[in-house]
Amino acid sequence: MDRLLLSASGLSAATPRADRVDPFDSGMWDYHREELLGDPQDWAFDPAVRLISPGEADDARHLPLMLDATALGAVKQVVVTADYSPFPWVVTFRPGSALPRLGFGMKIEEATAVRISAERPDGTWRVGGAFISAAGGGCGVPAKAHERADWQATLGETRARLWPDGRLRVLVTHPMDTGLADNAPEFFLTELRITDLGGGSVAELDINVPLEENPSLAFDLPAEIARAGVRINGRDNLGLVIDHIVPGAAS
Amino acid sequence: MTERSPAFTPRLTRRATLAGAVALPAVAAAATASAGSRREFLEPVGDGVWIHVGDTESFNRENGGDIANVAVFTTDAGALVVDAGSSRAFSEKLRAEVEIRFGGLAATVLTHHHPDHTFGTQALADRPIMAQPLTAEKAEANLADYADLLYREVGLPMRGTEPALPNQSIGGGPLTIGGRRFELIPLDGHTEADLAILDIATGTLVAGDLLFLDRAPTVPDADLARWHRSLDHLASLDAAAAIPGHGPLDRQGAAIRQTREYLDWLTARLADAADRGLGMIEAMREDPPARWAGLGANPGEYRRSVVQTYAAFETEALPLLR
Repeated sequence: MDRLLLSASGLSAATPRADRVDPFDSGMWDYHREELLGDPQDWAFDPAVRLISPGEADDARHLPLMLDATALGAVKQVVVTADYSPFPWVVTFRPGSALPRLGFGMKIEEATAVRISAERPDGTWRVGGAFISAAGGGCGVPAKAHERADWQATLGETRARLWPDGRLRVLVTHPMDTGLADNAPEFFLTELRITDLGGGSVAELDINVPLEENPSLAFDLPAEIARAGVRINGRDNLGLVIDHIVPGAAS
Repeated sequence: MTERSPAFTPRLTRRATLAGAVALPAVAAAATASAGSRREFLEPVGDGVWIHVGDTESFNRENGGDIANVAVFTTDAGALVVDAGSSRAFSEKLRAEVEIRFGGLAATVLTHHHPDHTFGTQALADRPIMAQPLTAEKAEANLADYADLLYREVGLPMRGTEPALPNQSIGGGPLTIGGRRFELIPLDGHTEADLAILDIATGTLVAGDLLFLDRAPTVPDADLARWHRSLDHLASLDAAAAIPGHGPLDRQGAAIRQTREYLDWLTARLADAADRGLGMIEAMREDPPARWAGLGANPGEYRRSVVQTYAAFETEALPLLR
């Protein structure tokens, strides 16, 4: 009887659960799950975690994406990773009062699966993503900013606007140098924090170099927060500080 | 979002209906066969004016990169060729036609630096290849990137392509080649340096990519305000016929109208998307309306246009925080 049970469990270990079969059959996922997500035991691929993508990166420096884990309900954090990249970790998004949905753009070094791993408050992870075909090279080319001698004049400039339905758009001028291009050491935004006017967390981003140059972000907030206004704080790895109030949306 | 393969519909051209009118059937047959068997390689459209009409889809393996129009004017000194296609194979085919039909090549003029118009210069390089200085500069600066793009999108038909750079600078004003008079008109907007060429004898305008017809305009290097001014200038010429950079010859002013209306629509659409707070991927996913969805290369070209231009519209829509 014991032997039977043992062999049965051995069989189930060799044949992964249907919700653990990698839809992209891409080799780095197991490794990145251990290294970048902390090797969670309760995880599954789940179509409820969506990554809206163009499927193809026309511009390897700006792959426009939107992650959406709203179908999961409450979400503690969402981690964006690329299976094949010199910088597999892209960004970690902790929605506070914001919905677990984020519009962003990233650089892409070669065709790869991009994973969206959402951790729920109970510590369980649900994972979605998309396969992106690309000519690639987005992480190794110099930032566009450096084509202009006066690029530092606009460094850190932040544009933002709130809409009455809760949409928040943020655009930060920053080269987001990966360190791979000649004569441009790593220089990138490391964090961005959105808070409501009472200091409550709306959304937090921990950022790595493959986020696109001049990051363009879209958040969805509770309408009452969007109508009141928010504060944006950020910094880069060389000490730039961003601190602004975004006026509330005119309704 | 993968591009569909274009369905080639055989069309009856005026030449094809003239039984036996095809001169040099061997060359013509070889040319049309590898160009997709859809029409003559060169079609006569006026007194001593011939055009090659490229495929109206984007670069792909089926069209072999043959997507741009080429105009040929006969002169006493041989042919003046305007634009050169995108591959060695195309270049050699074009040169062979010009040698056999028109008594050789006098010179080539390039309307702008984009590779679908300039990568087929290889077999034309023993004669003058004329372009504005900025066009030559951009062609050289982008050579490697364009080669990457074409080899990736087109593949094998690009084999052996090594484009020749312009070897003669031109500006605006009159140009006479083998007794045939042209007016060179430097403009901009599609790129930083666009050149239109007016054939005085027939009133035929070769507009390069300032004009598109039934093919979605491309905007990777566009300045839309300047492009508009250039369209106004082209309209003021009141040309008898216009050869757009992509799409069929036009005698009705449709190319100017359609290009202007498409650019206006694109500008209004993206400004509105940014003003509604859409992110780039959200703007990309709203497909063009029926009127523009059916243009050659759409919706792919529209989506590329969003990637190429949306940041400017976002900057406009989002106030700077101080």
